[in-house]
Amino acid sequence: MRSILSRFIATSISGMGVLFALVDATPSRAANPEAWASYLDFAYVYSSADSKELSERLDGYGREAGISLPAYIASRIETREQTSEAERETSIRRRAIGYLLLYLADGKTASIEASADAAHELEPWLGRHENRYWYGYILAHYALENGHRFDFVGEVLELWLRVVVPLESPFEALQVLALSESPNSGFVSALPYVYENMARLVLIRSQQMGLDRDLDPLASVVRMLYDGRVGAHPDVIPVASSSRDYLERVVRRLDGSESDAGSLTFTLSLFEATKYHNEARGLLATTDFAAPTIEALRVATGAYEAALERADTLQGQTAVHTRVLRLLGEVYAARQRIGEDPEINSPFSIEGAVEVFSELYREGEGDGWKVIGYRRNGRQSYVDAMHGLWEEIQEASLNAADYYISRSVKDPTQADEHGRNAARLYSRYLAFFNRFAPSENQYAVPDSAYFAAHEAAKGVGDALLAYAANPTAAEIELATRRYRSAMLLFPFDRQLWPALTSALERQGRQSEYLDLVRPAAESVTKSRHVNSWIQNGEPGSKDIAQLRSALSNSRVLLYLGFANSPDFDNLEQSNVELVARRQKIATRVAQLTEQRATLTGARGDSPPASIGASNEPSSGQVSGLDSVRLREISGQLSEANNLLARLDGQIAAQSQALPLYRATLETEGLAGALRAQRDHPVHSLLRRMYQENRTF
Amino acid sequence: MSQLIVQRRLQLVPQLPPQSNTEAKPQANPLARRPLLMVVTAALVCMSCAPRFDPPEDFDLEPPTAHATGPLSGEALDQRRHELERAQQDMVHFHATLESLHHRRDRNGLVLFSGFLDAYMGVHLESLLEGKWQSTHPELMALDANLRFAQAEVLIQMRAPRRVQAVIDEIETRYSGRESMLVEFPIGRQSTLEQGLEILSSRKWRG
Repeated sequence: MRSILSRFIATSISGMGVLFALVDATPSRAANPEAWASYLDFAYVYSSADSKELSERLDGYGREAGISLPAYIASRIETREQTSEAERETSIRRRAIGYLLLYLADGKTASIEASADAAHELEPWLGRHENRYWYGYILAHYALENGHRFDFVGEVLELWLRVVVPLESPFEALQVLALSESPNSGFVSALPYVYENMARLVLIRSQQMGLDRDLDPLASVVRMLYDGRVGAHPDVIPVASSSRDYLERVVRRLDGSESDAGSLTFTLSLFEATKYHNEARGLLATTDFAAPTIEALRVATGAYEAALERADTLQGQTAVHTRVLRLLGEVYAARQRIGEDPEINSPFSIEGAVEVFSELYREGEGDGWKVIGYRRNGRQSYVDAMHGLWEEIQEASLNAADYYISRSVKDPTQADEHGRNAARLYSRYLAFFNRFAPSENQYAVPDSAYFAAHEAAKGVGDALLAYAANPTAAEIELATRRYRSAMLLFPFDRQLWPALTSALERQGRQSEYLDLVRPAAESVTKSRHVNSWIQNGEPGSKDIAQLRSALSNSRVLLYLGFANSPDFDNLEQSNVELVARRQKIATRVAQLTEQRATLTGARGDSPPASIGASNEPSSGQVSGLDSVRLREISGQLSEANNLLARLDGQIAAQSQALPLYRATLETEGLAGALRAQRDHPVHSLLRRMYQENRTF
Repeated sequence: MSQLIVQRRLQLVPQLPPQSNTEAKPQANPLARRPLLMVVTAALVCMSCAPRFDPPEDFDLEPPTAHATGPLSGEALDQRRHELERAQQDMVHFHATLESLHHRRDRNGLVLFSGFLDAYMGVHLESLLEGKWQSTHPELMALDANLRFAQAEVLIQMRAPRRVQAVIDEIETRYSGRESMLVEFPIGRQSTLEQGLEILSSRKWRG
C-alpha cells in the first residue's frame, strides 16, 4: 500500500504522464487486490485521460493488483459488508468512482448509470469535499450521457461552488507552508487536478458527447479556470500536460473578434468546425480529391453550418463566413492545382458572405458595432472582423476566377465559357470593391483590397482577351477599360502596358495609347504619397523610385507598351546598329561634302558636312554637266544630313530611355510580393494613391 | 472515528485566533506567525475531509471560520488579500458572462447562472465581506471596496436593484468620510468612491 501511495504522491508532483510511465515501468508483483483502493481514491489524477489510454491504464492496474476493476468492484466492494459508517461511505465512493472509470474507458451506459446510482447513495456525506467532487463530476457525466444539457451546466456550476470555492483558500495556505504535497493534506491537494478535470470536462468531454448548445453560463468557469488556475501548478501538473494551451485559445476566442458576444457554445462549435477544416485541409494536401477528402470536406462544411446556427449575433455569423470562405478558396485552389472538379455541396457562397459583410457594414455604423456583438472587444475588433471577411471574399473570388482561367487553358473547346465565367467572378469582386472603397467609411476596406481590385480588373481583361476565344467588340472594349482601371490601381505592373496595347490593337486604336496611359503614369509621378514614400525610404521605395523615373519618360511609356521584356536585348542591339548606321551615314556625308567641294572648288572653305554650311553652290562657279552633278550631290548630301540628324535623335532617346526601361524589368517582383502578402506595406501606399486619385 | 474527530477539534479550538474586529499589531518575526497559520490550516483541512456526524445539541464549539476572524498581518493577511483579489476577479468574469447572456437574450442561461450567483454570494461572498475590520485595514480596504463595487455591478446585471441599494448603503456606512479614495469602478476603470457610488445609484435600475 505504501508503495502505491508513494507513487501517487510522486504523480502529484510530476503529473499524469509521469504516473503512466511509472506504472508502465513497474514490473508485475504478487497480486494485491487492495491496490485498487488507492487507485480509486486517487482516480482524480488520471480520470480525464482519453478512453483508450484510460482503458490501458485500468488493464495495467488490474494486472498489478491481480484482479480486474469489474471483478474488484463485484468481489470487494459490492459484496463486502461494511462494519462502520465510514467504511460504508468509502465503499460507496469507490464503487461510484470504479463504475465511472469503467464508463469512461468503455463508454457503456450501464456503467455510468451504476456510477450515478452510487453517487446518489453518497448524498448523506456530501459535506466532505471529496464526496461532493465525485458526486458532481459523476452526475455531470451522467447528464452528458443523457444529453441533459441544463443538468450538465448545473452540475459544473455546483462543482465550482461546493468544491472549488471552499478548497481554494486551504490549498493556498497549504502551499504557503509547503504542505500541499503532504499525504495528510487530504483532498485539498487535489485542487489542481480538480481544475484540470473541470476544464477537460467542459471543453473536451462535452464536445465529444455532442453537447452543442446552452453551455454559455459555463463561460465564467472557463474564464476562471484560465485565470491563474489551470497550468498554475506546474509542480503538480506540468503545463505541457495540462489543457492550458487549449484553454487559452478558447478564452482568446471568447474575448476576440471571432466570438459570438462571448458565447461559449458558439466558440466551442467553431473550434470543432475548425478542427474538421484542418483535417480536410490535410487530406486535400495529401490525397487530393479522394473519397475521404470529399467526406472530410462535407463534414467540415456541416460543422460550419452547425456553428452558424449557434451564432446569435452578426459577430458570430461573420466569424463563420470568414472561416468557411477560406475553405471554399482552398477547394478552388486545389481544383486548379489538381485539375479535377468534384461536386461538393455547400450552403455557403461568396454572395452569402458579401451579404453578411453588407449587413455588418450597415449595422455597425455609429455605435451599432456594440450592439452586433463587439461591445467587449472594442471597435478595432469590429474593424478587424470586417477586414478578415473582406479578405476571404477577395481571396475566394480570385481563386475561383483563377480556377476557371486554368480550365479554359486545359479545355480550349470550352475556353469561351470558362473565360467569361472568370470575367464574371472578377467583375463581381470589382462591384463589391466599388460599393465600399469609394465611400466615406472606407475603414471597412482592408489595405490589400486595392491590389486585389487591380488583379480582378486585369483578370477581366485577360479572361476576355487572352483566354476567351472569340470576344465580342463590346467585350474587347470592356477589357480595355478594365486594363486602364488596373493600371490606375497599380501602375507598377509591367505586364499591363503591353496588354493594353494589345487590346487597343484589336480595336485599331494604338494611336490612343499614350493618351490612355498618361493618367496612370501621372498618378505616380505627381503623387505626394509616392514622393514621401520614396523620401522616407519605406519598404520597396527603391523599386518604386525606379518605376517613377521610368513613368516620367514618355519614351519609356512607349517601350512599356510596345516592347516586350524578352525583346530588351534586341532593343540594345538595335541601339548598337543605330550607332553603326550613324557612323556609315556620317562617312557618306563627309564623302559627299568632299565631292561637292571638288566640283565647286570651295574645298577647304568650310569643314565637310558642317552644320550650317550651305549645300548650294554659288552661281557662276560651275556650269554644264558639272552643274547637274553638283545638284545631284547636294540633294544626296541634304538627305544624308537629315538622316544623320534623325539617327542622332534616336540614339540620344534610346540612350536615355533604355536604362530606365531596363530598370523597370528589375521591379517585376513587387506584384508577386503583394499577391503573396496581404500585409505587405506597399498595400497601404496603393490605398493612399487610390484616395489621392479620387480627389482630382 | 467520529469520537476521534470531536476530540481533535476540541483540542484545536483554544489555539485558534479569537474572533475580533479590532486590528492586531503586526508580528515582528514572520516565523513566529507560521504555527498559528498552520493550526488554522490544519483545522480547515480536517474539516474539509471529515465524515459527517451529528454533534450533541447542547454542545456547540464550532471554530470560527477564517472569514469571520481578523487575520491582520503576515501570511494570513496575504491570504485574505488573495481571497479578495480572486473574488473580485471572479466577479469580473461573472459580469462578463451575465453581459453575454443578456446580449444574446439567453433566458435559460440567465436563470441558471443567476441561481449560481445567488448561491455564490450567499455561500462565499457574504462571509468574505462580513468582517468590518477589513474595510478599515489600510492594506485591504481598497480591495474590500473594489469587491463590493464588483458585486454591485453583478447585481445590476442580475436586475436586483434592492440588493444593489443594500450594497450601496453598506459601502456608504463602511466608508463614511473616505469618499475620495480610489476604487476600480466601473469595471476596468477607476474613480473615486463617491463617483462610484453616484454611478451605481444612477445605474441600479438599468441592468
